[in-house]
Amino acid sequence: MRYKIFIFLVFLSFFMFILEVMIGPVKIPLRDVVFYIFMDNGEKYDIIVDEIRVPRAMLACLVGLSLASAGAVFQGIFRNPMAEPYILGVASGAALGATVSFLYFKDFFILSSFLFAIATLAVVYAVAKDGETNTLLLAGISISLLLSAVTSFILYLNSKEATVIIFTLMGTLSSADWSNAKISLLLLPIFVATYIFSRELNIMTLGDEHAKTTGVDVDKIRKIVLALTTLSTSVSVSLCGIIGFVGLITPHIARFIVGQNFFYLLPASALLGAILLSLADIFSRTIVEPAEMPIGIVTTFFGVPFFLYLLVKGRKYG
Amino acid sequence: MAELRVENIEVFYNALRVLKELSFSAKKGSLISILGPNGSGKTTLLKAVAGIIKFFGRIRVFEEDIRSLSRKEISKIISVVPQDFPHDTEFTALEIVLMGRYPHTSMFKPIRERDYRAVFDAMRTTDTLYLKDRKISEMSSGERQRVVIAKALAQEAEVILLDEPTSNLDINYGINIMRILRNLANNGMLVLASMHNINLASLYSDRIILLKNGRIFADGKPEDVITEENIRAVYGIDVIVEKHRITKKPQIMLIP
Repeated sequence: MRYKIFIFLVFLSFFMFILEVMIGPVKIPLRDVVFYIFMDNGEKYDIIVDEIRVPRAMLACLVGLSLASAGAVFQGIFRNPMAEPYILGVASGAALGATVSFLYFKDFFILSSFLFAIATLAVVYAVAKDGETNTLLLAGISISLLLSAVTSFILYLNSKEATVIIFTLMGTLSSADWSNAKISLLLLPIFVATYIFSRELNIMTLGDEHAKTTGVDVDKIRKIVLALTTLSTSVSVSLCGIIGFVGLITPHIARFIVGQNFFYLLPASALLGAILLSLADIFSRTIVEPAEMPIGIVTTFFGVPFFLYLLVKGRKYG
Repeated sequence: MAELRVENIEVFYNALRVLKELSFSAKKGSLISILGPNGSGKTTLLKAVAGIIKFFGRIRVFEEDIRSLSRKEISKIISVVPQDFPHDTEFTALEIVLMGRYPHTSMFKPIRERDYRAVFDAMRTTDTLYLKDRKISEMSSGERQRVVIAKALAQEAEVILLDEPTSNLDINYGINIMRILRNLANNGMLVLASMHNINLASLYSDRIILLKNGRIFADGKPEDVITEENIRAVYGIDVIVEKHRITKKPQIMLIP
């Protein structure tokens, strides 16, 4: 039963990938896309497909995958349906890091994002010393607001570059090129590394006491997994800004379909994340054609109503 | 030789001393109940023995200092049934009990036949096999509690700690759980349970440790510990203690 779902999801994400390549200001026929993928000699659309569409489709899939699986991990670890990397301030930290590096040292984009994100996480953790979930979330939310304010302040001081940065931070895949796409490949091993901890994540959903007395080194595992998700979040944010809601709702949809066992939940969230972000990207590129809407707006715009629908329909998942 | 030795332990929550110079030792094959009013330190004592909170003093299990053991090593000799269990979880009984095999498996040592045997043994002991594929969220509280005990048993530890295993359960479920615990002790395990139902504890336990303000107030056979004077001194209420007509164990009766 479950494997059929996975076959379907894999098929669907592949389909979205092709759709991403086909749709845009220049429509590319399926034949050429298939030619490009399988024979690597598409003719007239070569440059568009190769330089723009394919890296962009890759970026959409991989970033969607990592945002959604990070959300699933956070919700499990903090045993809170609201948790996601953004809420703990990780994304705001990464965004500040990206902004600073964009203005002052452009070559260290990801490093700077990661350092800021991990520092944010460390501060949030230190503030919520007892590790109690509510304290942690409150600390995360308030520090996240503080960091956004700092980012705004820096943008205010650098109003000349502000537009570009704001547009990026709003979430967009428009920066996609091969160098970005190659960096986004990093997200795959991070996902695999996280997936290895499925068993521990499952047990940790029962609470710290259960997990510890069942033999899970909760503190260690939590640190490792949080570091991994922080890294993937920083990579995502530095590549395409803050894309809200994918990390929050996708795991809920995935849980709806395959249940809460991380062994299935993580890959399902990952595939759904890839599918949804590709879909959102197609929307963002076509809705105001030939201009482009920031994808963060699209995901939130469609995400919220859908999430509310889920909340009303299946209350226990909320 | 005692398998569990608690030597002079003290536990602090911030500046508050919750357990004070507490010592006792316990042997395999016995069911020991810890009694005492709320705040007397029952749960804290169990957490200390489980090695999940900081304490001063020393706790030894099978002659090994619990502080020198890793989490995995501890969970192979001590299993725990905490008071809370997330009852909205969507995991099935089988998935939950399988989690109890965590200390015996690893990334490179996946679940084998041997693990399934331990899981099914545990489920048979707790009469939960028929719940195998049912989700936790769709169980009664008594069924859920038995599944959690099965998970602990699947760890194949020789010591099991239970924090108020019968609270929030109707009396038929409570009896059910106590019978299971009695069987475990008869089969050679050391069962240490904090209890709030004095009569249940008295009926099934070999020994009762009565706590007052973080100290052991009385420790011994039910008939020596459950007395009108002790209950008055620890709980601050007057009760009538009578012998059970069949088992001769002391039973308390409340006075309105």
